[in-house]
Amino acid sequence: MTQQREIERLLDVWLSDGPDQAPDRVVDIVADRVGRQSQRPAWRLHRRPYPMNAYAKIAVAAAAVLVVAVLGYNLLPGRSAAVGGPAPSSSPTLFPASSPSASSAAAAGAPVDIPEGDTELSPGLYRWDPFTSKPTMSVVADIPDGWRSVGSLGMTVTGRGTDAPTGLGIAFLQADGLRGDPCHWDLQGTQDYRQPGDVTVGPTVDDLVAALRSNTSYTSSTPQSVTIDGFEGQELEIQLPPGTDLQPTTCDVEKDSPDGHYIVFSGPDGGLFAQGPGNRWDMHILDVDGTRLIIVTLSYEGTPQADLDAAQAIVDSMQFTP
Amino acid sequence: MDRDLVLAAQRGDEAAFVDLVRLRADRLYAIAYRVLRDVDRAEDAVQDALVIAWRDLRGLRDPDRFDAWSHRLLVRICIDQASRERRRAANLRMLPIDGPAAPDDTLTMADRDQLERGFRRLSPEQRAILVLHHYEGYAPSEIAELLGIPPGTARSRLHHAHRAMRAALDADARATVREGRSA
Repeated sequence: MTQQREIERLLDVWLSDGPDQAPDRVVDIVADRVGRQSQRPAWRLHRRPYPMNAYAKIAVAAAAVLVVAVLGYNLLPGRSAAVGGPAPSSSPTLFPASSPSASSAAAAGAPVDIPEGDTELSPGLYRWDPFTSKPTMSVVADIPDGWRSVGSLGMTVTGRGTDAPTGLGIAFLQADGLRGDPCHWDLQGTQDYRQPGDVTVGPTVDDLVAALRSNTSYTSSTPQSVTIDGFEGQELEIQLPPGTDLQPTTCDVEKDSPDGHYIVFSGPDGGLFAQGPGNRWDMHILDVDGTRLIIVTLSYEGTPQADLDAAQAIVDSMQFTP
Repeated sequence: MDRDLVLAAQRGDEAAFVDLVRLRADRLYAIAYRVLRDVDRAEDAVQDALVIAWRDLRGLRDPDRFDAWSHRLLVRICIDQASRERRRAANLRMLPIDGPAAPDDTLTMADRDQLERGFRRLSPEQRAILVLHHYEGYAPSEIAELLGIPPGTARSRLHHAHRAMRAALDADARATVREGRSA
């Protein structure tokens, strides 16, 4: 029988043997691929495609077929004009001939769709479609000077991002549950944040507020009633632990990510995690026609008051399409 | 210097990242080859890991941890690749051993063949942890940090990997004896 020490010696010797130089083409291929691959913003949110079940896929396919059918029907000759009315002066088209630039349109007062990726925003109105699980929902907000968008995820103040000790950001979330221990959330051992939370939460704003307040992993404020764009809800602030250093030895790690993660919520659009030690989350939790929308303003004790005021003005300006 | 390259790459400097790749590709390739036992798949794994590293580099809070993080990305990709290959090859005969097999003073060709067969019987996770420990020289606590698992789990996995390797070698030795008798 092979002895333990002998095994270790054999492995030491055997593994030292073998190729130890990568072919030159590896560097060339990586350089080429890097040129075509944009970097993800430093905003540490996850938003990966959520696994779609078979029924959902069928529903999406059926909806796509329906859209095509309706559009095709409406483009048939004679369908664009009212019955008996004059013929249209121009041919119908599915796409505008040209689209104005984001900054000029935003400044002109028309909401501009937020572009993909990390983008500096000119002051004006912008529209986010923040949720994969609720694609019809959109949020329009009036953005002042000095802010960047982070794709559909939210926005952050230019220059400092969301990092401690002075960063600031606003994120849109939906959640179906909470993590009992937000630092040790990987109960399945899969390193995948999309696993269900261990704290089930009812569907209402009050349910979520009560669950947040009962979690002792962070401290929470007394909730206040709020109304934004006519939709009612509650405002609640939670203070995440100052000692959470987000090292992989401290909190559970998510696949591919370099750091440990402190994740409060669960759900397909709930993958926001603490951006730094002592992160403070001021949450507006609204019932938008039956959809529970969470708007999180992330900041720190050192975040300048002027920036916090700007963030509050952004939140107050929001308009929602359920 | 490496830290400066990481910082520059985090700001979107592609040339700095490619310089970093030049400095790191050999080491990553050596690890990937030893886990996967296949030069082509090792090459693919290194490329994929480095492209993911570029994509997510801005999220790296401590530039000094670039090596540990890139090793983690690589090991995860190797494990995924090896798991897929294992499922595909479950009913196939063993593939020939790839890569140069330079002779050394300590192991005979028969030893190396036996180790190769035994190693291939291990799970991808066990292979990875043995490579990190015996080739890279990582202690179990460092492996734990690298893979994002508790230190106790890393120690336990290393222990089980050694045991599995030992069992694989013993099984191989018994099979060789049987073949010798029946010949």
